[in-house]
Amino acid sequence: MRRESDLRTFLTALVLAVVCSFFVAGANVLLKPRQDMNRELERKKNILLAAGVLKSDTDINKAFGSVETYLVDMKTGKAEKGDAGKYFESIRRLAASPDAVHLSRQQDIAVIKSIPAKIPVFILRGADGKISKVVMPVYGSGLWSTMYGFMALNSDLNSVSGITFYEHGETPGLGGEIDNPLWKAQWVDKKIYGNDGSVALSIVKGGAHGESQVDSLSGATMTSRGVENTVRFWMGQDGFGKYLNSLKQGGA
Amino acid sequence: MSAMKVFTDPIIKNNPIAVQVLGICSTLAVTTKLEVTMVMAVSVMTVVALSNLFLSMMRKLMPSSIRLIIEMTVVATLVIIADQIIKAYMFEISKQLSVFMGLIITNCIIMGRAEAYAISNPPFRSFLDGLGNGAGYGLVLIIIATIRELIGSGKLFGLTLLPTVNSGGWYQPNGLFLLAPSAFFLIGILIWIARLTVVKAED
Repeated sequence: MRRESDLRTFLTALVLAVVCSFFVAGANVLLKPRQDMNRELERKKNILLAAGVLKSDTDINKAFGSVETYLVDMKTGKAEKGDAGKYFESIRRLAASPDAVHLSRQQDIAVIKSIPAKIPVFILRGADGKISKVVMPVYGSGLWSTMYGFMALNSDLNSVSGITFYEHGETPGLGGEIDNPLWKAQWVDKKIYGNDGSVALSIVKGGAHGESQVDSLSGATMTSRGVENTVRFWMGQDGFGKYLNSLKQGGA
Repeated sequence: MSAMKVFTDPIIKNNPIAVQVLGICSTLAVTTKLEVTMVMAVSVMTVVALSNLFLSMMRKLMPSSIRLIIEMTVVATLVIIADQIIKAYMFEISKQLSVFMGLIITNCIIMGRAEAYAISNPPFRSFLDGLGNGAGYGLVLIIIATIRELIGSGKLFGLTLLPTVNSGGWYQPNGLFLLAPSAFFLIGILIWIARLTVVKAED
């Protein structure tokens, strides 16, 4: 067979395609369990970090063992026990699925268009069985990217226990400083809600004072505004507000 | 040319970035942290060496009409496997490399070496040529990442050398060095130095 014949060209391409796809598929199948484990561990780490119970020597899987996972129905605010894995693997797809909750322009302050119908929350309990922390996944648009994170509240369901962002594409050194532990430390014990029950938390430029103000990041006005809107959305009535109200009234 | 020279030439004298001016894009993107840069450099070195090796082994079988497609397929396969391995074993770093790992496929150095060297030279030499070019690329990346991480965040390999104002120290980091344009200036200066020394010595 001549090297340049059509048949030869076709066969070469076919053999190469089969061999290469074999290797790619093999790598994917062999490494997938490990990759999934990494992602899950990362998620657990961030949840514990937001709840403020993560220390450098904490065994993440062990510490997470006592965390209870509930799925919150975003329309009604009702919660039942469930598994969180599916949500984190497919936030975007769930938010675009037919049963997702669509947000009107007034509601959509975090600029995310729609949210999944059910969103998991994580509850940590104290030795007396009472809720000590509630960790909720939040996300919203920053300057360049959608920022994904966790917001944790203390047992009064008002003061912040911690906030973390596990995925974002904000400018390194400017908006990317939402990862900075010193900035995140500012959030601790700030009050989300004002006396009238509406979201009072705000991010202000220069000299935050008062129990519901956080200093914005210098050089990152848009990212700071994005974080503020994200928190305001998720803590408000269109986010976890209804669920938190039912918790306050003593529900599960 | 001796086998040794095939390996050493592209590291300095015929450096893919500073002299051939190839593969600039990823140099801008992945040089803000030394640790991430090292992983990128090793990945590119492995991919270019192996793609050179395999393509050289196949060079007599390849019909010329689909030569580029074959090269692309082999390179893409290697890059996907490297990406999967890093995602499985170096999760923290893979998050920072994000899309740039996959974009190794489009790194001009890899296709450039395949076309310029591997398809007309025996496998072992092609492999060495790939290693050398990968090392030359890595060397430039590491030089740039060292400067950027130190000036931009006061750290090297994530260890604080200059405590920054944000963390309660005295060093006011230069944020420009964390953004892509700074790498442009640094590469420009490197190319200038290479032109003044290495290339001039040849003329």
